[in-house]
Amino acid sequence: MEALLPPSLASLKEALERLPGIGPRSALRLIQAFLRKPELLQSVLGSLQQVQTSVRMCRRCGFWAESDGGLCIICTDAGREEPVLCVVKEPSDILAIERSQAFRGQYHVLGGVLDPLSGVQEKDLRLKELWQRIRTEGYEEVVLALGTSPEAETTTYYIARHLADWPGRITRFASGIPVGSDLEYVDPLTLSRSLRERQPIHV
Amino acid sequence: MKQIYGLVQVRALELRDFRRYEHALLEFPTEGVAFVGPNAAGKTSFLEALHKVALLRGFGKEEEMVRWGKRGYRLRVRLSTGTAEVSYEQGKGTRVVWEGEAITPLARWIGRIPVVLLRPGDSEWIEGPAAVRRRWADRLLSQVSSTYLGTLMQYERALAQRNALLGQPDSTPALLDSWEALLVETGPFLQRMRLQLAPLLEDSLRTFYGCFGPEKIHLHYKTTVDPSPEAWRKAWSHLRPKEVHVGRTLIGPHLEDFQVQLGEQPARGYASEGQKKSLLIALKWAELQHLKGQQTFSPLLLLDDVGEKLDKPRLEALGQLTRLAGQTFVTDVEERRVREAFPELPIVRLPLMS
Ligand SMILES: [Zn+2]
Repeated sequence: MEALLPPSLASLKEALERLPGIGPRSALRLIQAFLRKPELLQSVLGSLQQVQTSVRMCRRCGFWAESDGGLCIICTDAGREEPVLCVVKEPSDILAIERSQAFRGQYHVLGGVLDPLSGVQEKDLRLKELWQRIRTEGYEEVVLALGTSPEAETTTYYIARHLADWPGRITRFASGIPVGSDLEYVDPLTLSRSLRERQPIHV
Repeated sequence: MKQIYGLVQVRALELRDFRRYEHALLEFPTEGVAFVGPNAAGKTSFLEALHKVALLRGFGKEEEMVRWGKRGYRLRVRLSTGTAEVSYEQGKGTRVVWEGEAITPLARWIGRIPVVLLRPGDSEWIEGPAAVRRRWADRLLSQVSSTYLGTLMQYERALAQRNALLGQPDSTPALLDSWEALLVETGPFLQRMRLQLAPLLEDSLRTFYGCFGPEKIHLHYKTTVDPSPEAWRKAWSHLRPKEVHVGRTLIGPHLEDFQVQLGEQPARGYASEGQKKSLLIALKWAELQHLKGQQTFSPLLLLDDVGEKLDKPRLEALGQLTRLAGQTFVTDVEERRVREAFPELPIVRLPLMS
């Protein structure tokens, strides 16, 4: 079927398929939409170019920032005073936590988790930057919110171990039972951890 | 997810592009069914389909299970409690939909339809390497405990990561410590579950094997290290240099074995052909009893071409297994033998496929 496509479309299809979440079928659908509506193609092209020239990694936390000053909107927000640093894996995790509107501290994007099988080592993560920030930015607590995969668990342990002598609190997100769900539908691993890390009720 | 309660019985099975079947739809009575037909009639495909639906694994590789020239297959079962669809597609893997709801992660599905399987190659359980018995125990324990399955998956992933790290020149103690933290959280639990399983099965094995012979059966789980985080850490304090040298982890449930003894001798290498057959039938009895005891419903019993070469007492014993099963599915080339061993089972005759 590929042989039927003009070479430039075949190469676009190949490029699109390398994007996360895009398979052969959705690649073709995108191509079809681009060709049917040239203005759509134009606006996507423009946005991509804009992103390429002006979006940078925030030089402090690693979230997305527009180039001026090199800091992101969270790092420049004077209202975020809680002396807590929340360590996440990817910038998109920040968006997820922010949606909850429950956190008023700072973030640090690690850029991944330890994964020897995929060749991800300590030096590939923003760990040096993390140690530096913890030493100099006056936090009272570091929250590790990396997830519950074996790789995330191990990275959490690794960071906590490295910070063993740091005087502040080191915590991680509680493994929880989804709000509104019955206990019988919660998987037993989550349940056993929730039980092990149970919390006193403050009244 | 809606829970399945009560007796699970397969009312109907539908195959699409599975093995050599483009489409097949079969309805089953409550007792189950015996598929009778010549070799290569496709009898085993139905058992394999049921096994895939229950445990998300067939008897061969996925590519072999897809009908020639197709990209995937679809299996639908109508149970007494609802309808499940298990499909496979190249590049996408397996998908389970229960009553219209996709099941994720797939591990949550295992154990919903407990299964006990006996196949011709199963004497490997006696004669084969330790890995065969570990896989067997993992399959049995995973059906009973989703915590076991979840823990096993975490353990295997952490183990692969630690081994990868051991093979790298920059494996610092801090990094090894971190992977070991997860291994000591998961490994001892797996060991304890297997240690508890052995005597339970040994008990029922002895009882049932008693019908065949006087030998006392011993089933013993042999560990490489005591099942406690402290013991693991202590072992690693000596072993690590060697592990770094060989590039793999030298303690843990991934290396351990169930030892089977008949009287004073190990079954492996010493059991006669007859003793092996008796032992395997007794083993299936023990598995059925274990699953039945742990679940709110009785397992499906799948017997694939095992009647052949069995004498009358063993054939009768095979028939006895159905008493513990919720529903039984048998394949055989000989109708007479099926009638003898499973008098209650309706027979489905399959012609040779062209
Ligand atoms: Zn920032």
